[in-house]
Amino acid sequence: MSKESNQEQGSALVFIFGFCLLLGAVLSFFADSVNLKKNLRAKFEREVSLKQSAENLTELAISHILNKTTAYDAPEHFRITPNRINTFLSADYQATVEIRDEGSRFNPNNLPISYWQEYFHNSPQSYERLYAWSFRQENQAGNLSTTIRNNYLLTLEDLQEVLAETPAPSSLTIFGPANYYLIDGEVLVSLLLRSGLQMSSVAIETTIENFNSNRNQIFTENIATLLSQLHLPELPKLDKIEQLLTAKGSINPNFIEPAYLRLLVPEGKGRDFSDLSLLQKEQPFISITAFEDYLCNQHGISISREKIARLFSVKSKVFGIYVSIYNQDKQGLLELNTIVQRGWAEQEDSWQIIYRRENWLSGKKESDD
Amino acid sequence: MKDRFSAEKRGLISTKREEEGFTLLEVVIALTLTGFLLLMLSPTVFNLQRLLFRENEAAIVNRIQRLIYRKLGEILGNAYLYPFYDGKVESFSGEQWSFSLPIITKQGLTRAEIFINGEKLVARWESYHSDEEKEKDEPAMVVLTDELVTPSFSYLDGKTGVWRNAWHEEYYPRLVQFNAAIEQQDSKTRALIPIVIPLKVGQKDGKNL
Repeated sequence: MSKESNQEQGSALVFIFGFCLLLGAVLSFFADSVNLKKNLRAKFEREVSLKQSAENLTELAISHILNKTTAYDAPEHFRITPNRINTFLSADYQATVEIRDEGSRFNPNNLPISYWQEYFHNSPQSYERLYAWSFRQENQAGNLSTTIRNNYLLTLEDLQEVLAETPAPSSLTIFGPANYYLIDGEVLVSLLLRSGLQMSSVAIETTIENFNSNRNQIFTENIATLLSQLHLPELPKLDKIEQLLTAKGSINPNFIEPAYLRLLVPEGKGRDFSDLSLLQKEQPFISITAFEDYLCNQHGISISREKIARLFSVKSKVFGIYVSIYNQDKQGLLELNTIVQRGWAEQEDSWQIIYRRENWLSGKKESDD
Repeated sequence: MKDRFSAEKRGLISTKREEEGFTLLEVVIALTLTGFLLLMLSPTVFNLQRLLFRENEAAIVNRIQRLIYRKLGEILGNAYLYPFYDGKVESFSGEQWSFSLPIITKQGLTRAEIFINGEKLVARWESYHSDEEKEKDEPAMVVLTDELVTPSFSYLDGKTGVWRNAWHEEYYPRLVQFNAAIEQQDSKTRALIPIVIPLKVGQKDGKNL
């Protein structure tokens, strides 16, 4: 009796503590569940908030570009102060906003092969890959290439893949219309086909021949007039071809790279234009005349104003806006890359977003964990 | 030793006390703790089942709502505007029960489709590149939910400001809306908050428009 009683000593406390443990376990399970739901909701709200911040900063950049009252665009005009950026963000995040001129970059989609050869003369592999990509047959059977380019670079991922460089080189672009005075017959026919025009192989050959032999004989900004001179069997729809082809200058000398300028100015071959980047930053060209003076006085290149005006403009047309949001530890969370084309329908203050890519980065996952 | 003996003799310490049951102190502690715990937990315990059920149902609806919002946002946020008119890449097309459009993914240009199949909402991707290795990286099809009731898509025409049930224009709609309800375990339906996602790409904007 005494032994048994001794064994039961304090058993109530043991039961109570056991009961407490059980209740504690149940409670912690519910607390965990509530906590998980709270975290999921908080993560979602953070994601939405970050996305909205990126949108707001892109809108800020667009309005920054469009509200500039100067008659020219230059690198200094494309800077947005950090203070202004921070007003769109909560204290936990930081962001950078870069505005770039996309239309003044070398665009393999819109330039003839002869330009590719010169531009990539230091990187023949890039040229070969680009050629293989652009002129490959649709069914990809065999290695036969087409006579006109058949496959355009449509996304920045395509450009990275073709050039085997990540990110894609900042001197290249794939956006914006082709310039009538920079293309050859092959590019023209390719653009006509892209505008939806059906052409027989005979018509294709004739058009290429016609264009190449009569190239640069008529100068006008009117695409309809230019196309009517080519004796095409059928004319493309004007509203469509005008989206793909322009006869107005669109390359901004305040953003162009020396390597590209060398190609565009025939007398410029062999020149390094080493003073160009400094001028672009400190004394940008305020007009086409100023650029003409620069070419003539600094480099002895004599080129008519009409010819310059057909290629160049100090007002940029196609912009890239890159927004990157990161946390206090400088871990990238979200990138938003937007390409904006200005001046559709002949209205300077109108714009269209022609490309947009959201990219959530690894920093987001880490902060979520 | 002497003290202990004398105290025992005087009956102050009983060696048989441990055999007589719990001490008063033990019982008081046990009752206090039990009462305190019951008092704290009584509302939760009494309503636990109902609370759990309600919480769970609300959580499921919220989770589905978030999932659909996120997936639609991801797809429409990366919409691609094909700049040519040769018909090689189809533009945005939509019906009441589905829509499809070209989008940009890490794998390059891809066609994404969201469609309703009975009570299911399904997302499907198909790469424009025929490289088979690439397609392995991303699942070709994902069922987002299978508890939908009366789901439907509608599209806002930015030019006319009218919501439409189908979309076959060359240009993109300005907004895409998804409406649906969820069937709960108790057979009641609970409407989702309408999900409206803007399509930024392809929109023409301007001060004087």
